[in-house]
Amino acid sequence: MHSTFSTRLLSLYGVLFFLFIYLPIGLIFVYSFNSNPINMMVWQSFTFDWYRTIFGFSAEVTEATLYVESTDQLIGAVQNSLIVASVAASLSTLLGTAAALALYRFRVRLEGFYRALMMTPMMMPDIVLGIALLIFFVSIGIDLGVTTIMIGHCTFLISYVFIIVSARLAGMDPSLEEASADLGATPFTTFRRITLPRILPGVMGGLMLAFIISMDDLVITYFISGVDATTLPVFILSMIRRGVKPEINAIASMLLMFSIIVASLGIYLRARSEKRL
Amino acid sequence: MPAAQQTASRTNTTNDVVLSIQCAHRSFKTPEGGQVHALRGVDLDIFENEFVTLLGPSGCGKTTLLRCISGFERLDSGDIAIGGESMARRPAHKRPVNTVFQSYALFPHMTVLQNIGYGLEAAGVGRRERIARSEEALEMVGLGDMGQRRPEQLSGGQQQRVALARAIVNRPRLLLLDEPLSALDRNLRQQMQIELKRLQHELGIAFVFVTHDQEEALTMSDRIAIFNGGRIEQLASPREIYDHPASEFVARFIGESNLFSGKIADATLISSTGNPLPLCSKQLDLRNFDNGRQVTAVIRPEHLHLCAPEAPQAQLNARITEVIFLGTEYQLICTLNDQSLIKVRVTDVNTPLSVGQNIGLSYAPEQLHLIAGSTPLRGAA
Amino acid sequence: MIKSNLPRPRWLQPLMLLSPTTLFLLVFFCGPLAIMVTYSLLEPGIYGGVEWTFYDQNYGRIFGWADGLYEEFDPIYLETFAKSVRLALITVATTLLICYPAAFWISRLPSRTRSICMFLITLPFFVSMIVRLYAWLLILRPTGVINQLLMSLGLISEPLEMMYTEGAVIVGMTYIFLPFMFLPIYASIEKLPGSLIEASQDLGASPVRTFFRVILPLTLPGVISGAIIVFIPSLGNFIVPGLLGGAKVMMVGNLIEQQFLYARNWPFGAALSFMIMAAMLFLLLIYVRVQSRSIGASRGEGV
Repeated sequence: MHSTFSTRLLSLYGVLFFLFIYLPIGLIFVYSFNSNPINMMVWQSFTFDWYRTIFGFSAEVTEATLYVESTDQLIGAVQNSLIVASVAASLSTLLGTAAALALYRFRVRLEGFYRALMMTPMMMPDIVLGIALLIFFVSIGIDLGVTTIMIGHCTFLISYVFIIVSARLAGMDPSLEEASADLGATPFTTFRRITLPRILPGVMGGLMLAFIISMDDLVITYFISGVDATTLPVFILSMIRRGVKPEINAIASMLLMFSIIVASLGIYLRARSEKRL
Repeated sequence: MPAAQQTASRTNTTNDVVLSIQCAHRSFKTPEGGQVHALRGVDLDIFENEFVTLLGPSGCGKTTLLRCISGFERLDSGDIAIGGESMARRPAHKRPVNTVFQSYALFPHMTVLQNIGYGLEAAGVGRRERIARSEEALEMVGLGDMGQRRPEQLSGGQQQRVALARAIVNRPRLLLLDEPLSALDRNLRQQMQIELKRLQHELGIAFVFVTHDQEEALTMSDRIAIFNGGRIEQLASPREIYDHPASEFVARFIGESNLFSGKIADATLISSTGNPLPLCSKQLDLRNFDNGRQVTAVIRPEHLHLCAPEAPQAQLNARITEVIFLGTEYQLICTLNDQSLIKVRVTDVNTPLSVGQNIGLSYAPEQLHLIAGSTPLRGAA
Repeated sequence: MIKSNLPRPRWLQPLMLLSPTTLFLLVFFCGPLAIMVTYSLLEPGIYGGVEWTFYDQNYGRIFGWADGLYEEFDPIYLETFAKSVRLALITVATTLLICYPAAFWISRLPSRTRSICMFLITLPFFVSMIVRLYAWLLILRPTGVINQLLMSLGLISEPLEMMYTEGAVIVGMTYIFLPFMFLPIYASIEKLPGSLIEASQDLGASPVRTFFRVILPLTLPGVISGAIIVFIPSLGNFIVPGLLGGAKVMMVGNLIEQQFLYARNWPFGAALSFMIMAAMLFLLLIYVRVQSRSIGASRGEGV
């Protein structure tokens, strides 16, 4: 009796826990279809108007009553975000994977130092890193912009990729590579036929997670984006600061969906690579 | 090791040397900053078509030696030659040896047939021949219809066979087996022992088999190399090793034994047991053991016979401390005069035996094997 | 551990693999941090720049040795820092209280449900922080969900003032840092063998006793890891207090932001940042200690 009661209590708690996590973000999504322009959180009727507005197709209801953010600015921010995330994720995946491979395959002097160097950027509070990068770029005279954002994102994305790929490599049976060499495969063939296929899902998962973390980064971008190059999260922040508007619901919902889809794919790839090891 | 024994153990393998290891040294740094000498001066010749087992406790260097042969470890000094060619500068993938790994190391992202064909592919064998040979090898290990499966769909025993097929399909000069049977259960292990022996005969390849299981070693090997602390203590046929252990370590490690140490005096051994132990004078002559020489004598429990206490033929007097029933025989643990323990096998299960009973023990002097030199250790091992 | 022995120049391959990453991080991670620390010891220029002279007054303003001539000591900085520490600690406590039972619950689920739950918990980590915070803006605003709900139910007539309070900041930080606390706790609870709990019950311990004597001590390393990785980003946060705390709840992160974007006193901002970095490094040291000790304990080298 006692145990069923406490088990039920725990299950109830679990349900509440998930509600706490998902209700708030669910709200944004649901209310992004609410047509009420004055009081956003009072449901009026279902509409796609906010989505239309942000893509520049002005809807009659809202045109007069609301200040419409420049669609060009939004599209520019999305473009910047995608460019930054693609470049930063690719570069950091390359660098992080190479470092993980080096530390896994070879006996390297100062291994502890290298590991610490690869891990600390992730632990560094983002405000500190953002400010350090801002001072750095300004003092050596590099103009803030898309390039500086890419570099800034790479510093901490390397950590994430390094950790994911290292975990993959550590979970790999080292005798697989030895078996390949034993059967006469050259080191390059061993890498291509054995090591790479084994870690590729992990690397791809790392790439996707790096991409999404870069897409979502706010604080570091906030300090080093300069005047012209805004990314989507920074754009949303400045929009919110100017006042909560229904269009933000629509933009946030789309970013939400995008993040969830890419992250799911990344987590799925990682989990699959884990299972097959 | 006496020259006579070495030639005796070679009689059935008069062919060429396939693997020759000379003065192999290898040490590792421990994480704590110390040094471990995994190999210190190992010499070993292995002949064509021979089944040699490297046997020893864990950490004795046997696996290190295997990894040096396959090329995953290098030697600090010394040389390894296969077919007369030095392997010192050859990386693992260019050596004419193949390994069956302890964990099997089957590539999980390939089918069984792809696994087996991997080595042939690396050697540039065409697709058609590759498949034919892979299937043949699979047939040979009795898994003809499993080619399209993935390793994870196979049982442990089947994976073991695939690993074997993958190694032999390349027709290596030498097949290395790193404790391949340790993950199998007892029945399967015994079955695989027979099958490995059969395969070795069919293929005519030299096998180097690493194990810590003495029973496995005794059943399968043509010769056994007993490792201890990075050295080979004895290299000989199983029979030779059992009957004439070259050192105390070997005597203790293989089978059960009773050890006495003392000085030789007039064809007897003066030890602390109280009674002088008669020795075989032929053995003394053969090995040039003079009076006053420090030796250790080994006698197997089954070579001791019960008699009445204080009987004229009794060479030792003892009291029974424990009686263990083993099914077809008894094992007795007896206490000698100097309080040391001695093991005795009694095959006649009808003998009345009870704890505390005083008994006499006799043996044929030729069964008492002598080992030169001595350490303070003695008593039952 | 024996690493596989690869042929040819042993130093060339690792060097080629490792040096681009190392170089990148030395230049773009260590370099900026070093410059930031240097900046914190330089004199601020009159028009927002920096004078390359040694200057201890930035820290003097914070800790009290400012001479009062050019710079003045103001306890507000230390007070803000203390308040940030307090809010970060409360965030740690709330995330811990929320996550521990949830982790316990999930660890006892059948494996299929469990992996789905784990997926659902890691997912929000990848949803943009700004989107997650925006959700709470919608909930807590005077015209937000809670107030609308309560007013339509007739429980209140005036909207409650929930925004711009410490409570709002704590709720926001708790919400965004939840996964950071959950994952390490879950990892340590999952490792805990069920037989230990059964053994404790078998020996007559009550559930409460079992929890405090067996479960909690064994999952403590996970709790400490979680606490540290929640505390570090909470301490320097400025987005959450900026959005949900407004001008009323300022944290040290907001001070730093002001120095860089409005006051243009970079050296002083760098000095404030250094305080956060120092706190983080200190905690990281503890973290490494705890990790190595828990590894030692699991090897049976004393608990």
